Amino acid sequence: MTQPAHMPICYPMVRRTRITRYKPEPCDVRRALNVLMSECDAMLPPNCAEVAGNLQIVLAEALNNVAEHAFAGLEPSEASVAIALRGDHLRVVLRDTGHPLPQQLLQPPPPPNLSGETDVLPEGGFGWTLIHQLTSRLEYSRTDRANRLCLWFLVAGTRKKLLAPQ
Amino acid sequence: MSLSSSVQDQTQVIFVNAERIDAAMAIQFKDEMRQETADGPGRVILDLTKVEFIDSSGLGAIVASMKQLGTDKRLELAGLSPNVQKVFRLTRMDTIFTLFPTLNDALDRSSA
Repeated sequence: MTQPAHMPICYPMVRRTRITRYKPEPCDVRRALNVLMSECDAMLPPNCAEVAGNLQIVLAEALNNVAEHAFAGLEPSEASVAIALRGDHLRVVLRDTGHPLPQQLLQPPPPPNLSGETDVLPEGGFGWTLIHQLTSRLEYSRTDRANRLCLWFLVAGTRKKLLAPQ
Repeated sequence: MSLSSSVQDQTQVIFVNAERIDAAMAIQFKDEMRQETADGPGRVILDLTKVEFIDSSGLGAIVASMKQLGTDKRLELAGLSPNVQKVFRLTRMDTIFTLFPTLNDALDRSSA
């Protein structure tokens, strides 16, 4: 039976979730990022180069943080990234079993201080600045000694955008 | 290995022969920059034309490279892709470095 002409076409709320597992250390972070970016290319609608670019920057920072800080002093154990397109947002969920995330990082940090002479310019501390600036929403929880960081990216041009807000 | 360079007039151009400057290669990058700039003229242009992606560790390595040049030399950047430029803009490092759209733009400026 065909759908009446006046009925809106409904797309599924969750098209697909793709999970990528990685070992939190620099070489495997790089490999995982390549896998994640190919998955996003397949998932995102056309003309989303800017979202994909933002996603690559944020994922690199988030995965590096897991490798460098969550597992500082610990044996790296498998962590994961799940990506799903939900409505007009791309939702990314990072899970790991490293140290908890310091709560102050959940607020946007003050911009790096670049006012001094060249020899005192900061060489780090940019990661969370980038993550906060390039995501539309961020949530963190810790349960059963595991970290769950959820990041949202607004994807303009998804068909779901035409439907009523959730 | 990932860097090569040439000197013309009073300018050294260092080419980055890698698609990424990231956490996995930040230390190597800094070491190679130190070797490449051990001697040579006072103006150093880092050509990033081949670089498609940089993360904050890579950015930190470029800042460290500028610092290790000391006060007698200056480091300028050329050929930033939109996503590389975005990382400089969002961290406001675009206010610290002189950025040129292409290597030719940077070389043209040297005669000015």
